[in-house]
Amino acid sequence: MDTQRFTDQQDALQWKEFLQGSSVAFEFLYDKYFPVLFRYGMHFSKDRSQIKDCLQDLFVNLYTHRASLKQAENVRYYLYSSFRRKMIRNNRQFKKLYDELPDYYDFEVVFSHEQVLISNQLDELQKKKMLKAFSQLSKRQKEAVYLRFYESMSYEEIAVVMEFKEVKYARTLVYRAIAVLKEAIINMNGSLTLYSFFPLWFIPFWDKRSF
Amino acid sequence: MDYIHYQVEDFVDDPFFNKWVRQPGQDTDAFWKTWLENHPEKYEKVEEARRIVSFLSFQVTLPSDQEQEEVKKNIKKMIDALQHHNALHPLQDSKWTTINWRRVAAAFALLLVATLLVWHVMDYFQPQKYTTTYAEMQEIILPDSSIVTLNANSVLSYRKNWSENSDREVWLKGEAFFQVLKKPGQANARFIVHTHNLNVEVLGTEFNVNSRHGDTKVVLNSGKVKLNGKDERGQEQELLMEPGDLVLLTKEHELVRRQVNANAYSSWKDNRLFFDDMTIREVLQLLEDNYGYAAQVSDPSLLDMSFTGSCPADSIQILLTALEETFDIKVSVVDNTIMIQKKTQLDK
Repeated sequence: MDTQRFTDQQDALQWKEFLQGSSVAFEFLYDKYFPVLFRYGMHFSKDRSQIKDCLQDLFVNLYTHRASLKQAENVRYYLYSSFRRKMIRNNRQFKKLYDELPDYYDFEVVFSHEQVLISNQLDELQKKKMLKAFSQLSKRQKEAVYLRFYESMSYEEIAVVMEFKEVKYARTLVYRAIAVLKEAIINMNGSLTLYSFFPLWFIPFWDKRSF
Repeated sequence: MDYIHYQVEDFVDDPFFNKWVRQPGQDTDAFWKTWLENHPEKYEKVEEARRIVSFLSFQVTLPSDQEQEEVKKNIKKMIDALQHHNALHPLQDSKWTTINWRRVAAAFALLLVATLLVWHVMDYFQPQKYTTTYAEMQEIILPDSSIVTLNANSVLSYRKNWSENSDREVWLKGEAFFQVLKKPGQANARFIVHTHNLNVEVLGTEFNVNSRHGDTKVVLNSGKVKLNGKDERGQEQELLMEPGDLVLLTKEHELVRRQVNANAYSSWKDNRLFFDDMTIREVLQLLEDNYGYAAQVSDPSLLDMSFTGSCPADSIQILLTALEETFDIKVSVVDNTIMIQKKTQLDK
């Protein structure tokens, strides 16, 4: 993780300058983080305007409240978690229930297996089974998997960004997701895909009589 | 790195392994190829892990350069505007000394009276409403002293002022147990429970109404109850219930009637859940309705198995353990989801 440590240090320096009032440092942080946060935001919503509004709010607030920000912040943790909070909590749909029901938000993931190197490693049937299994994971599992495997975040960072009480919870989420994918390809004898979700509103009828 | 003891999940999670699969290069190839030669017994696990890592190739969307510039401009504008505003409108002390306090007090009093008036009028016409959240139960005493025990995730409402001669009416979404007082000497004083597809008319009775997901289920413990509902042709139909009767009217207008142990359907109000030959599917549905748990089952045939038992309503864990022991399955709760799978060798 040498490259990560280097960029963390670079960020910390820029952050320090920014807190002292440097608009050049502010612009540096914006140029660096706008694209990656936008990319992250596209998983919470397909509405580009909503994402851009959230990012605008985020950076304006950052600038206007810089007097009360702390130096010790890990810049990446801080920007990701603040942005995430805005995307979810500013959404009228989710605002009310998100605190009680932690899975009450949107997070969609799209895969691309077009790349020759990748497609050569994947069996069509297994890919289909994994797609189905993946689609049934909870929102938080999908997000944790994205943060771990695409953003290459450590479990400490995932726990901070997703507001978990304990770091091991992030690891549990990711490991369970991997286990689901593993189960999906383990049984090759045409038996049922494991972890399929059945609609539970189906109530069986017993003694039907016409009325 | 203790790769020898790694399981499939551990390989998938390992950053160095990920690098080898996604961006093979001399350094990663050199290590892994040699390692695999020395540990051929791990080949299968490594292969599975490779497939999973390959699968986890994300497609992402980046903003355009214009979008990046556009937002940057807007941010600068906002910041300038805010700074400008703060510069132009600092607090001016002189304004505060010329306030006419009498005027302020009068305006305040008027506002207060107006608010109270509006509030009172609105209140008179507003229905009385009780709402429970997941895993919450509430006992309500109605204006005629009848008692309603409202189960979790439910709403009960009624008009506030009940006069002697008019019908006593309540509206229910969810589940509640009713203990209705007979009104002495009042031949016309009906008590009616409205659900979205059924009306329950009562005379001095104890019964349970469960109205969720478009279906309404009524179970009569004692007394007499008359049901009114529309059948699939839109015609009004009536049905008289006897104690021990269960009647279910689905959202597709199908009517089911059978005799049951009525106490099983209202035991929740005594903080006890009682399952009388219920399928796992129904048990999970109940847990979803009252506690908000989603569920995932590894083998759908498990859903049709029958379960008889009971547990305290505030300790689901006891129920889950009972299920584990009865059906030889593994039950766990992750992330507000109940996961059920058949026990494998690894779990023994």
